Amino acid sequence: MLRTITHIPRALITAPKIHTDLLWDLSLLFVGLALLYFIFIFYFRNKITSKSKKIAQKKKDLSPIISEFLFFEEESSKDEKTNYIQLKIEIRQFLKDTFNRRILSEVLLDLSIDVSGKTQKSLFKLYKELDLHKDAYKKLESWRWEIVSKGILELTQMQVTESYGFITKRINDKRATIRKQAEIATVTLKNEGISYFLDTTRYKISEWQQLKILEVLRNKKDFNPPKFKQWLTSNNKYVVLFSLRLIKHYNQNDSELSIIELVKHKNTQIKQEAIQCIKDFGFKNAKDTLKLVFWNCSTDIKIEILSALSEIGQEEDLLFLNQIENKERNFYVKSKALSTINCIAPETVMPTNEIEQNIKHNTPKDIITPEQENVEEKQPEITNLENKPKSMDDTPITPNEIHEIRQQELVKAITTAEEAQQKPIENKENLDFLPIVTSAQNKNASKKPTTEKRTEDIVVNFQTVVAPNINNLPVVFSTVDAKKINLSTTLNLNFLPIVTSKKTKKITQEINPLLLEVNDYEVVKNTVLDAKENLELDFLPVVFDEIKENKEPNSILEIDDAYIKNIITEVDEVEISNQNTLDENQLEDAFEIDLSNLFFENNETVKEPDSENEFKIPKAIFYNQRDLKMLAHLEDLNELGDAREIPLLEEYLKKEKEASIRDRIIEILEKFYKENSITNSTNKEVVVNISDYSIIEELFTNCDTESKLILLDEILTVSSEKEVPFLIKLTKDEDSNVRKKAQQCLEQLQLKISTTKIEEEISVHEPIPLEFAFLEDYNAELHKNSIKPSKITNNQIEDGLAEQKKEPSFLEQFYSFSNKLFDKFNG
Amino acid sequence: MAKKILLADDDELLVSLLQFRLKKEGHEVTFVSNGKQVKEYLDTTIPDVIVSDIMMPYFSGIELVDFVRNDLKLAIPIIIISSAGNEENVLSAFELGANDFISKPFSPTELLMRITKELTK
Repeated sequence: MLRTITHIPRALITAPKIHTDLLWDLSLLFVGLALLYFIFIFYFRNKITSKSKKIAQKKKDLSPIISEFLFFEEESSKDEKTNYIQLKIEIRQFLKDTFNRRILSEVLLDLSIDVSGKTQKSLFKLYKELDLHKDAYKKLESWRWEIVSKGILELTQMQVTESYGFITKRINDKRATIRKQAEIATVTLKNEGISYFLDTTRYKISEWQQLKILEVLRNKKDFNPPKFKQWLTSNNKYVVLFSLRLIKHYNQNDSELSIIELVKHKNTQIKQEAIQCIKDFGFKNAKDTLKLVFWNCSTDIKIEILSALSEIGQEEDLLFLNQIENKERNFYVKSKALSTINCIAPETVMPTNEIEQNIKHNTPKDIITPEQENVEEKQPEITNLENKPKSMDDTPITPNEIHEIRQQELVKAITTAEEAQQKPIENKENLDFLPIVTSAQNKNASKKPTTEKRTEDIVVNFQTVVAPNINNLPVVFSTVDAKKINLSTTLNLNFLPIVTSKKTKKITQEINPLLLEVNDYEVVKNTVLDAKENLELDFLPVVFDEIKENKEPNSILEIDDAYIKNIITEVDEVEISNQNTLDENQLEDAFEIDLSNLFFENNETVKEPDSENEFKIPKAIFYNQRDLKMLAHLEDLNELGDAREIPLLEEYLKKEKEASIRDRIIEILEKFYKENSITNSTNKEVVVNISDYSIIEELFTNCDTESKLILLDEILTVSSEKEVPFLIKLTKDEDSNVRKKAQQCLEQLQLKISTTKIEEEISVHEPIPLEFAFLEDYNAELHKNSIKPSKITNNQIEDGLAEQKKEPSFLEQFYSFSNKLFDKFNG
Repeated sequence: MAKKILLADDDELLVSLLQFRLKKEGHEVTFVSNGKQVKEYLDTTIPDVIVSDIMMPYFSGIELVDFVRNDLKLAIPIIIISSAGNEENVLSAFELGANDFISKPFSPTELLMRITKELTK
């Protein structure tokens, strides 16, 4: 009872009632579909296999033919030549099928990868000769990206430089594959392709693409890299980045300022690349910028900056590096800062971590080590122990003490460096043999000449004058020649006071390196030193601390006599060795130099323009409307016209009454006369050259047999006597078809020439009447045909005119002929 | 004088080109496309020079050098053709006794000159 209550059997799934026949039908359907599927696979598999077999067979058949073409030489035997021509005919037949063309293209493309040298060149030539590049052009028109890409690849691989224009259009294609293929092609096909690419690309240049382009450039023969600095200002940041990499690759270190500026770029990659460039090229001027951007950079950039500083840094940068060490929390940056300090000043930072502070030497008493011996010997000599590194036997040094010692060392190093800079030269020895020492500020001058002109940079390094026995002797110096001012070197004149005239205006324009070249000095015995005399300063490099003058020059090059006139400098100290020294005041007087006498002989000062010397402003000329138009017209003629305008201008000159306009016309006429005379002389040369030039002969050298036959068909219509030798030459051609055709043409041409001569003889006797003299054009045409126009009868002229209407002129015939040829070449 | 040259390469197009060039110079050229065929050929014939690609089915160029030098104990000149950037394999081939190598892309004339040089040694 309980059982029946708790367990009630219930069917959870009710099987649908399906007719057995339907099940059978469905089974049959699925079996059928499976069969169909297998048949489909089998069919297509077989089709693909048979196609690949067919392709392989075709390739096999083609390979000896291609080999024959590639290794064919002009000096081959007659049989070989016949075979070659036969093969050419065969291959032309073979290429009528599109499938075959595709296979031949594939074969040539495959081979072009494996071969080089002369064979590769022959391969490219064959590809073009067989017009396979036209198929590639068609591919460029496709809407499918993979086909377009394949077309570009083909043209690039087969070095079809003519396709450059078509491919460059696709540099900014929306489809990445086409774009990248076009970029590679542009760079590959022409040397100037890289410039065009960097100028025009608007899209990202991927790292991989950059590598590929670089690879292409590296493999290019006779490639002269452009100055990549011109793309550092590009709006496309990828172009800037790539340019920086190219600059680094090609060591183009002539863009220092731009590269330094790029350190401030928002893009981390560009920043990093710029820092690397600075490091590689050793741009010391970049130190300030690097320090400036350091604190806001990421860890990677900071490490990069420190790495650069380790290359270009000097002792003056130690303070900055020390700050980094103290303030920076990042372990890597801190470590890098320490290593940079040690790079700049080796052994400045000593190892501190896990160094045993209290080491007891347990060496046996009877053994005295050489180190101990040395210590014992040296101990009495040590006087100042404070600055010496503490030995291991001393009391343990705490980290704070180490830090203090390091700080002291740093400060000492910096002070020493500053002292060294500030310390005047006190060399009491004869310095004649020494070269002029330039300022440290100009260390980079060798890398890149500074273009900015700065007054404060003008520096003079005075050498100490050492003169023996110079009691009461004046030091007379030859006059410094202003022409010898060397702008390329800077001397430190900071210490020199400048004496200027009362009326001065401060120079706002910056002036850079100015050097007065020193030739020599002379010491004249037994002559009283006169401070008033003009001192000659040949021996001294003179540089100015501050230059003031009456006007503001635009650049250092514009400094003139007046500008330098008032510059007076003083020599602070002249140290004279040997016995006697001059009184300080006397010396100051003696070396107060008026540079106006030194630099230029011209003593003229810049005068304020007075009333007499004022410039007279010419009165305005007001033209009427007609004259204005005339003048404008004349200007147009001057700009756009040439010698053909002479008659018109002469007519204007006759009619014109206004003097100023007449003058202008005469000016333009003179210009055109000159041009005309030049043009005439060149034209004569051209005519001479053209007379010997045969276009038919030139066309023959670059075409195949079929084209040659077409050319021979046309030769009769356009040729003259000068083609006869060429036709005779063709009658001995290797190709029998060409030979026969040439023979026929020669006969016809000779007939034509003889007919023309007869006509000419007939026309000789009757002169042309005066009323037809105006028919200049017709005369010219007749002249071309060697008929003298003055001896033509009326009827002949009428006939001639009628004939001219009927028959096309020589040029028309030539154009139609060239059109036919063009049609032939383009299929 | 005609010399027997064995060309071993799976690239039929290139081999055909080389074959043509070498035949033009009067040499007797045999072409095989894989390692198996090389072995079979060497069982019956000893060529004057072997030109082999470094990458071949069944039997690489290095194995070929090893086979010729150590198994067959032959001192036939062997020239290895390698692709660019495959210098490590070339070194191995040299260690095993290859005489010369040429890197793709190469000029068939250059290969011919190298073969001639090996034959005249």
